Amino acid sequence: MATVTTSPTATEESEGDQLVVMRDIGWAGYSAVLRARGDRKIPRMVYLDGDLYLMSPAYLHEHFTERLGLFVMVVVEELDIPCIHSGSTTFRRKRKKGGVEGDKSFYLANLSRIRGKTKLHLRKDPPPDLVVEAVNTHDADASVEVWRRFGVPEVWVHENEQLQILVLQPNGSYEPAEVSASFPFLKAVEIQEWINQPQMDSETRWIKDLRKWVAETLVERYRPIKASEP
Amino acid sequence: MATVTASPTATEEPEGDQVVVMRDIGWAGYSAVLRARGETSVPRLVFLDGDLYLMSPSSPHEFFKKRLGVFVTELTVGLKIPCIPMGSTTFRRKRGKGGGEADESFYLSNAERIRGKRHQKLHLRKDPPPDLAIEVVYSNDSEPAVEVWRRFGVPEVWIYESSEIQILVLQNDESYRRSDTSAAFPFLRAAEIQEWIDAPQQGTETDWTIDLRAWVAQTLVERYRRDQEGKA
Repeated sequence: MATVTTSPTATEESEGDQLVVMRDIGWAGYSAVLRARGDRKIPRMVYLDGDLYLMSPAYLHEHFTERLGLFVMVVVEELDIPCIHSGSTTFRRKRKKGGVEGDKSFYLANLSRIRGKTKLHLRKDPPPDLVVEAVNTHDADASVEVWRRFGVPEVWVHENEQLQILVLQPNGSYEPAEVSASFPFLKAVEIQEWINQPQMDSETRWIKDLRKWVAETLVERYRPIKASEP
Repeated sequence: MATVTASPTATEEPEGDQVVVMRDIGWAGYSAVLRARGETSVPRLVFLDGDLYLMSPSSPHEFFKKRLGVFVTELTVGLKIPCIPMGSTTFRRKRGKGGGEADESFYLSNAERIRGKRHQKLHLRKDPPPDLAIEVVYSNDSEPAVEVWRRFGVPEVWIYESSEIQILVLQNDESYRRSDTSAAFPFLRAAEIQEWIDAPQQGTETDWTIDLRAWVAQTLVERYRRDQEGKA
């Protein structure tokens, strides 16, 4: 009989995202787990009303996350729209009983209020203007609820090849919208088509095609909007 | 358009166990997460060489864990073998750079050494490790946990994975070796455990337990008696 070899690194990568919930650990517990994680980005954490969600993203999750992030960056670059990419910064606020790390987050309209800062505090700084979340095997409900409490004006959720744009309403709830609030010249179905495009030989080609489309199609649509802005 | 309702409890239960790893969080990080978890038993935590594995068991996982626990209990009661079940007690040792919580754990030959400590904490520095640890594996793997048990010197580990029972017995060279029979219960074959644990649910678990109890009384009592006579 063969000796059993035990190697902790042999853990196979599973297909889906992995989600573990710690119930009722409270703000102090959340803070302790954040400290324990240190400078790492994984597991990603969402805290809502006492419960902590820890998530390890699978390849597909990361693939869509990167595409969503690139999509926004190509649009702002080609249209020369000021933007600060806050990545998956941890935003948390004890009073709102929430903490979250978006797949990608961006400052657009509020950019001037955080420019030059090296640390953000939701008590005095605004939340990001746009957050994108890729859903692979677990829904983004807890994250969306935290973004809602923080007053994030717009969230994109990519799930089952569908892109939903959620826009914050005056009553504090999110409503699905067909057009982006941050980019009023951009339709949800258009974003969806780009994000779902099959991978060609590489992502390089995808970025080049996207940039061409933005330059040829969006620039034209954006011109009158930009002209009307002060 | 409908308002989007955001309810964190609506998350569908995924198919298998869910495992999240926190790399390089060290003993202090492990201790902090243990404290944050408090009195609840989920997520289960395994710590090995700086890395922490957090696991949420799926419902099939819990079903087989329960069956294995009842199996050992019925066996020890039916044969009057001294046993103290410890369930998923956290066993950890800084020097061993490890910590684990088995699905089920039992003191058998060492039961005498921890008797009366029911209300005290066990410390691996002075108390023995459990004699038998059981790990149910559902879509994750048990290797970090098994390595922790190996370092603590747990004499026997049962792993139930994909309808197969593996009995691992600690060797003199401190490695585990697969065995066809149990070391704690030498009259018991891995194949027999497997048959019982995999037995389809006919009726409820009550019926299963009654059948198991009868089998212990009819088959194992006799085998155990001969076993004991042979030793004498």
